Amino acid sequence: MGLFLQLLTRGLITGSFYALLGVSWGIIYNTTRTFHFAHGFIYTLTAYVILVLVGMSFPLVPSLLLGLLAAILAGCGVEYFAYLPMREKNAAQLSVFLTAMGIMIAGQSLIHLIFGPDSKPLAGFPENVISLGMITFTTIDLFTVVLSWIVIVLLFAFLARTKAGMMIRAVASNPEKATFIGIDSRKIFVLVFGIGSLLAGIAAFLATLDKPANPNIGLGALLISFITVFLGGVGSLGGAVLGGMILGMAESLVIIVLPTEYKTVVTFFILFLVILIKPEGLMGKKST
Amino acid sequence: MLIEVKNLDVGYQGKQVVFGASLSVDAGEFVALIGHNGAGKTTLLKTICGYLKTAVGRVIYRGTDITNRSPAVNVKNGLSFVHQEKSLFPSLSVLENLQLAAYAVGKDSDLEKRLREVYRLFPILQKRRKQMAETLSGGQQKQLAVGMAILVRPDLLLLDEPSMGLSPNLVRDLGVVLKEIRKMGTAILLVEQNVKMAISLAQRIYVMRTGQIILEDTHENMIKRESLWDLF
Amino acid sequence: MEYLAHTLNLAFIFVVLTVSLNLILGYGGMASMAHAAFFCIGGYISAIVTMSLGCNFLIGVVIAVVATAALGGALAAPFIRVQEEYLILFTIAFQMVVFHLMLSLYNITGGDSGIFGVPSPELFGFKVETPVHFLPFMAVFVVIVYYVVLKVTKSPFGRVLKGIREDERAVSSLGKNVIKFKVIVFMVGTGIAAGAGGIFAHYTQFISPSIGSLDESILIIAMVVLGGTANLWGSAVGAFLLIIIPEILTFLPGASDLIVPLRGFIYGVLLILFMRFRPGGLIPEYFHLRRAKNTERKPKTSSSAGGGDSAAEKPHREKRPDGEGPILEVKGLSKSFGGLKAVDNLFMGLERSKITALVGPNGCGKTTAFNLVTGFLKPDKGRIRFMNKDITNLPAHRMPHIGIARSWQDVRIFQGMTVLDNLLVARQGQAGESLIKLFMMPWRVKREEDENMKAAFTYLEAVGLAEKGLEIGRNLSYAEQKLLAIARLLTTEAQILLLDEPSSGVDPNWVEQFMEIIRGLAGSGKTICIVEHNLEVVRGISDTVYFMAEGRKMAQGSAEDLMADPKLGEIYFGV
Repeated sequence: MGLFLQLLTRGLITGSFYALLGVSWGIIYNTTRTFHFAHGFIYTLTAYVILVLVGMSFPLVPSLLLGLLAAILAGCGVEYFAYLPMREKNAAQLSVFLTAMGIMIAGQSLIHLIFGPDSKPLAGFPENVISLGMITFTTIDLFTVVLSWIVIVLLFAFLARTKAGMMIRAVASNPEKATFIGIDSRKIFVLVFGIGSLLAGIAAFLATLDKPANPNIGLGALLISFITVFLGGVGSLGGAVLGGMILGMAESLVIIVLPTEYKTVVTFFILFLVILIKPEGLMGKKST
Repeated sequence: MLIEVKNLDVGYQGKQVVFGASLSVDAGEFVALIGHNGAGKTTLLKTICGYLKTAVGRVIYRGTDITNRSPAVNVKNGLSFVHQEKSLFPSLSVLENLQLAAYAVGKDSDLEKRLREVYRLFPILQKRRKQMAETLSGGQQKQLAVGMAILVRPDLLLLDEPSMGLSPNLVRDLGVVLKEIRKMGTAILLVEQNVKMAISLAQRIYVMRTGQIILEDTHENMIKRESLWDLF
Repeated sequence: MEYLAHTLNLAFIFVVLTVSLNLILGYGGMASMAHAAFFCIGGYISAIVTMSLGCNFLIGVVIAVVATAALGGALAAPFIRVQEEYLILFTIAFQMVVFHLMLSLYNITGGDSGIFGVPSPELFGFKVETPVHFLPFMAVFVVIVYYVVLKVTKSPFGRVLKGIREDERAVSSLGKNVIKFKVIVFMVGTGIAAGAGGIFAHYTQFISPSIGSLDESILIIAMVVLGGTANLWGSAVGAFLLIIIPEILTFLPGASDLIVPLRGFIYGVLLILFMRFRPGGLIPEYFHLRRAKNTERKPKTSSSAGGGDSAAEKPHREKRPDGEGPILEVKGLSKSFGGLKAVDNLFMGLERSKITALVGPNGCGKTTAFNLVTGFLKPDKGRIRFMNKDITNLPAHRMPHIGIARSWQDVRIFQGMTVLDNLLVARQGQAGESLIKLFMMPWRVKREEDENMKAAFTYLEAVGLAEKGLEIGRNLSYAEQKLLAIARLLTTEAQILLLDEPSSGVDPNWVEQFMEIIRGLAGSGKTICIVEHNLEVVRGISDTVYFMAEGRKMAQGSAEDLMADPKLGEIYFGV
């Protein structure tokens, strides 16, 4: 019983983090329908910027802010300089995907070349263990869950209550009509990439508090991001949140049944089945 | 003339769809464009509003050449286009759809007043303003689409087959509303499959066939016409 | 020397992988991100088989090829059903499942550490132990693979693939089972990759999951892209460059331990640059297409100028007398979408050698009816009979075989193929479209090609495009493309031709000419049915008109009769 509760808690913690990753990629995909593979690079970049700055004895908060700024600039840059020109030329989906992949690989390799493959931990955050009855977790875990949910709620509020948020939802709902009524889709796309990258940056920060970073963390984060989106439902950010929670729980609880090595297999097998059976995801709608 | 289209050629995907089309609409005028399916009416309309590009011909609006100008810019200058299908934001509420029409062109300072005007013409939209647009019936969605277009008080309204999929009663109601809109000072260029409706509402009618405008005539003459079949 | 040989061997392996992926991606149009997974699976199968059975490595390799091809076939079936936009994701998911499974199944695969001691290749008692000795083996392997792949792509089978790559529905409408082709291509591609995997395992005497990772799959894709999709020689260039350049760069001081990220960086940058500025690959596409033009065989035909109409009047297409009854009958056909009845209890018949038109206001169901009759939709109720045979549920790609062919409103000719090739795809029952017959009966394939060329040429002449035989599709004017589409229909030698809005998009000056051609087709014995909005065309060429509204037949008769009916006028023009 104790084990089950502990795994459940783990699942909730991981799920919250995955939900954050999911909405970070989801908002970009839902609005622009771009398969933003380079999202993983933004993630890795932010982690390393923060690490480098902290390593140079900058205080944590300014380092974090600069890291997030780097994420936003990089994300908007990728959209403006890479995807946008291809989209205007009606490039094939595979071409855009390969470009994104190229950015991802080149970026991660560059980080590897500059910083080496060794993991770097992030120091300076209090890490205490908390025990509540049969379950234990750390302050970092608590911080992760709280911050993730605050960010997710803020995002939903932004989309629902602000003019910009409404315009983003409009473009996601019917990009053609958005142009017809006068919305500048290009600006909205760049905005959305900025927001998504900011969220990815926050997720990267949370991750490096807990675990050491290495040049390959971006790929893992990316894969989780889009698994949650496709699992929970394309076109629905609520679905991405749901997908994140389900994935986090499944990963944690599957240990009861299968040995730990099979965790990743299960994750991808879930994705495999989802695409095969209901590609629009749990909460998604079939595109006509 | 509020808008003049001169010798427009339009093609896409390697084929030419419109061949040297010319038409005009005066301020406050109600003009219809009719013709068989595939004659190029929608293509022509989409080119006028800037959604499709052309290499041959001109579109002159209020004295300025607006050929190939983006539809987003044209909307801000008073040229609104209502597409035949998918002409609203399905996952947003009716109210949000209307608000967006104003936000998009920055004309939301007197939003409440504008909304009241739209609700006067389409009372059902006020009743269902909190509902998601996709839950509206086909006819109500059409009303919302037209409502969004007139919220920004355009000088010229381009309508692409608004009667499509509507029952005869709704078509009649729509006709009444369009007449009201014209009374408010908006010129209308109406593309229609429902020929009778178009002829009864418009002051002037253009007929298109296989990409060319083959006839221009007045409301009075068209009403008196023996047979419409030879126009199609 | 050994180092150079090893690098060459490595390059050769990747040439094979690139070529086989190019077959799947460039020719089959399937973006597979899982190619390295199949490579790895092949290696493991061959290693395990030879190590447990103690047999010759060739047997291991052959078993790997066959088993993996079977696996590829099993995966291809669901794969093909997945929507376009999710295909990439689907193969990534598969790739990751396989990779992590191989890592996890420690007992079988050795997990992370892999399996050591895979026996080195041995042939006639001669053991191959060094890279230099292996080189000739590799070279022979590459030559065999190129021979197979070139033969496949330059055959009628390959021609259908090219069509599929451009427009699957059009290929279906010409009588080819698209799914079958795609599955076969996938199996061949993955089989070859598995063969490379087996050979690689025996060469390095080691196999581990690391060669089957997503990174490796991406690398192979980069090689395909670099060399140009559907450009098989380019694939060799791409593979060589992406293996050799990083190797050379490792000679830079201090760079040797950085080879992995260095390679990654180069691949990434190359991908970005190529996708942005040169999506067609290193060698521009028109170059290898131009070469094809020069080596294309000129059709050996005896027909000369003035063969026009006679070509369309084939001797066995006699005109039967009237009053025979319709050769195509539709009885009580119904089809609903959601709650909407698109076609409602429709009754219709096509008379032999007559032109029947289907008209009606928007949304009347004529397009749905058209798709039902041509097999692109399955009816909910009702029967379709052709010459007293029930064809109600016949799939679209079977229609041309029995004599029913359709055209498309948006033409859909194959833009990247020559005019003649466009027509050749339309020939039915080609031996060269079966891989088995292609390799086992080459003489028959050649004979049929010649015959088909002759037939195609006569149909080209019939529409007046005789001089444009070797022109690439996209270079034709729109009107010429429409003529080509008609010629392509004729090439199927179908008896019943269903034309979907034949006058749409046509320059008004051409309309009269098109009406002439269609009249001519009926005159030579074809039964024609057109869906049309342009009533001038309907008035000009149709013998019978069916007026549809709300999914049902409202009236049937001559154009003049129907247009005199005020009730129909109300329906068509509104009230």
